[in-house]
Amino acid sequence: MVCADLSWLYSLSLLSLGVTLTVIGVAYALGQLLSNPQFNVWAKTEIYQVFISFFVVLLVLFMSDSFCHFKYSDLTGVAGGGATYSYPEISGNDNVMNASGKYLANVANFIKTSMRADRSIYGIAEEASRYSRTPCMPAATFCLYGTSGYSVRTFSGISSWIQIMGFSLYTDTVSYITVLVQMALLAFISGGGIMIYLPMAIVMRSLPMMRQLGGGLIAICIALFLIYPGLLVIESMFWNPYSIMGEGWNTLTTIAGAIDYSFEYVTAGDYAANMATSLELASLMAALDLAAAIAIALSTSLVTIVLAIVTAVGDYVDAAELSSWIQVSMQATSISFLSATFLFSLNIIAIGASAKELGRLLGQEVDLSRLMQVV
Amino acid sequence: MRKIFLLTLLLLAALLPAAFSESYMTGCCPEQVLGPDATEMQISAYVSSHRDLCGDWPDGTIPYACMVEEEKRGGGGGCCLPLGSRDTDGTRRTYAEANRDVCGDWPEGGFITACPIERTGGDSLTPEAGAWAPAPDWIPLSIMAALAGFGVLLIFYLFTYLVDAEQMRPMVTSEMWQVFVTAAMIALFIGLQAFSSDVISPAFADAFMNETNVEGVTHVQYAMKITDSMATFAWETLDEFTNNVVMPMGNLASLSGNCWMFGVAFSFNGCASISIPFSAASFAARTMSTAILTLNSQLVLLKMASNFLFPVLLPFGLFLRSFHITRGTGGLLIAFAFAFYFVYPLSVLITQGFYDAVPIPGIREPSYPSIDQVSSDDTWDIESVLFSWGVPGDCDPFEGNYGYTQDQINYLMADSLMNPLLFIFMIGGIFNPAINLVITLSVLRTLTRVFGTEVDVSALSRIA
Repeated sequence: MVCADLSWLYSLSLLSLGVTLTVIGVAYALGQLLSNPQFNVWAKTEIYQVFISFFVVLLVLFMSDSFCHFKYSDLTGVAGGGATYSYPEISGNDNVMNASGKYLANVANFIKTSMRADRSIYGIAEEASRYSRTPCMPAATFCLYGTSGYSVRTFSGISSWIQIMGFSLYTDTVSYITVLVQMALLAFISGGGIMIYLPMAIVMRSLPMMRQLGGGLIAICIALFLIYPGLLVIESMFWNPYSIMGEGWNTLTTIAGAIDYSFEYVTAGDYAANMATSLELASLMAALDLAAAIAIALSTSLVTIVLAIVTAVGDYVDAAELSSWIQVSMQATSISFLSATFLFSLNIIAIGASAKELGRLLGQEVDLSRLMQVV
Repeated sequence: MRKIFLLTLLLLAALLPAAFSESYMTGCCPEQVLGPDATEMQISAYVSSHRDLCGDWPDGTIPYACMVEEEKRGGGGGCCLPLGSRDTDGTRRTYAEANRDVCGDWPEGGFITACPIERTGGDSLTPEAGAWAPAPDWIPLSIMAALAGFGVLLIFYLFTYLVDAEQMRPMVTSEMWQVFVTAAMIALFIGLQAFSSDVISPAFADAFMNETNVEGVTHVQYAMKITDSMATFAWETLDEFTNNVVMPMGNLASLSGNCWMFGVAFSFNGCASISIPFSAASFAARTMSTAILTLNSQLVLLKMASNFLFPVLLPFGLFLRSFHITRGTGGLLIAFAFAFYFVYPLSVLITQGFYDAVPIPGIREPSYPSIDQVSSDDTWDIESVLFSWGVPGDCDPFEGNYGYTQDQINYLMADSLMNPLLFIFMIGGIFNPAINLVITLSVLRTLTRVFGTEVDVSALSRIA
């Protein structure tokens, strides 16, 4: 997150001050010329207001500049806290904007890991639920009648876990998007684009009928540029989803990396071994028929080779472990949801309250409830 | 003078509850929380709650979990191992199982406690109970915030002399009084916290849960404990329901018979209608998972209240409240801290108490049917099917008997299964957490008005 160079805004604010003072001066002169006391009264009132506007704008610009110069280590030194992050690391030299951005990136990484874990479990469960066995019957015939028998997907019931993981994945996705929205909002704010309203506000607050709009613009700028990053950096210092997850975080990363794992029973496994034994048994029975004996011996070798290939590939989890993984994943989902959505709502509500209060002070009560509803 | 007298009275009144408290801090080798059958997840949650009580582990220490005998509680010896040294490949393994090789059998009446101990390894030692008990962070932070607010106003006050702005002086003075109100609030919160730890928690525990050994545990920690228990219980119930009902039904529903003879073949899904109860069971499992997510969220929200909203947002809110232009925001943050630290956990305790008090026998103990599914074990029992055309399960697709499905529906709809599940998950897992949040948000809305400005918190209601 890069802090924009706001020095041009100081110049622009001075220019706005000069233009507004000129307009007021012209109005005063016109009042004198036309002997119209209304012009004079208006000019005298606005002179006072325009300097208030200018002072407030300078204060906001100064504070926003300060946010780009306060070091994270200074803040943690004063207030304590300072959670440790690694995805990416928040260093003591980061300013408020950088630290806020990195905090959001860490939350995003946590949620993304949770999503990857959901996806791994989803895949393993999907594979397991489709595993099908087709034993031929009766076994004594050694499948000489073809595939007559029954077919069963022994872990078909695992599809309920797929539904559960689908719900977790959906929740994590919403949380992830929410964090991305916050990151985009922070990038937009730190870019300084919204601060262009400040010089405009100096002019507007002194124009007839426009004071409320100007005050409202200043209030929105303060709420978005100061309150929002301020709240984020405080969250970064004291709220760490990784430590809330505790030791489960290691398990979660293991699950997230288990995208190529298979379900334990989705192998030829003992079934193939038993078939091989059966075929060996059959070869004894077919001892009188040389051709049949050779065919069966070849089949036995083939099954053995298939068994070796299937069991050599990848890692496996069993049903009990998969179940415990789901538990960990669901805990991560809850933490993700609250870290992303609940805290974001809290931030937005605080921004709304600040804008309302500041706007009232500066002339116009700003109602950001619509924005909050959109969020 | 009258104002100062009134404010002093207010401060004293706010601190009154603290006078009834023996102490609001305990040592950092807390008493029994887990038993020998604790899973790794429970231990992890326990360590986290331990951290809530004691703060971060001090430098140079390793978190140990000790198996300690009942009579040695509070400083006796035990077998302690670093918490991070266990295998992490099987989270279902119990702590006792994982460490029995080192520590031997679990002692009679033993329990787990966690202590920060200055050791780097070893197998047996004596934990030092209460050796390290840092004060809660929020109090110095709040005092610092109030002083900072006062300092800023003082600078403004001096500034009015510098620019000779006499008309601003009464305004600044009035704002300074607000700092005293803030100080009174800090005192009130200290008192309330102490009161909740030593009076409210034990009272609720005794009244609703028939527990007496919760002194020194704050109401938030107690609420976390029972929420964690509820979430763990709900998860175990879902696990059992999945293993005993959903999996066997899915297994049977997938059964089909095949026949092949001289190039002519047919397949018959004679058990497909079992997919009707199976779908219902799957949907039930998904609903249960929603309830578990809700309970997990409640636990995280309580941790958030304990670790962030109260100790962090409260001082920040108190600071912002000192100034006229940010009073609304400060009031909002204070209201959040108050509502989620005091009201929410109390609501959790009360609703859990009502849940536990329901006098219907067996309402928390679902009984599961014994459904005979086709073996998931790949070891083919060759003898039993050597000369048989029978399918080894509760449904034979060759028979086309729809009574199989009715049996499964009956299993699923049995009162002994359905009623407990509905009670545990719909009441304990969804209804109660929702009520807790609704109560908290209702109070929050009122509190925002009390502390500063009325704020629309409907966005949070939607999340709820």
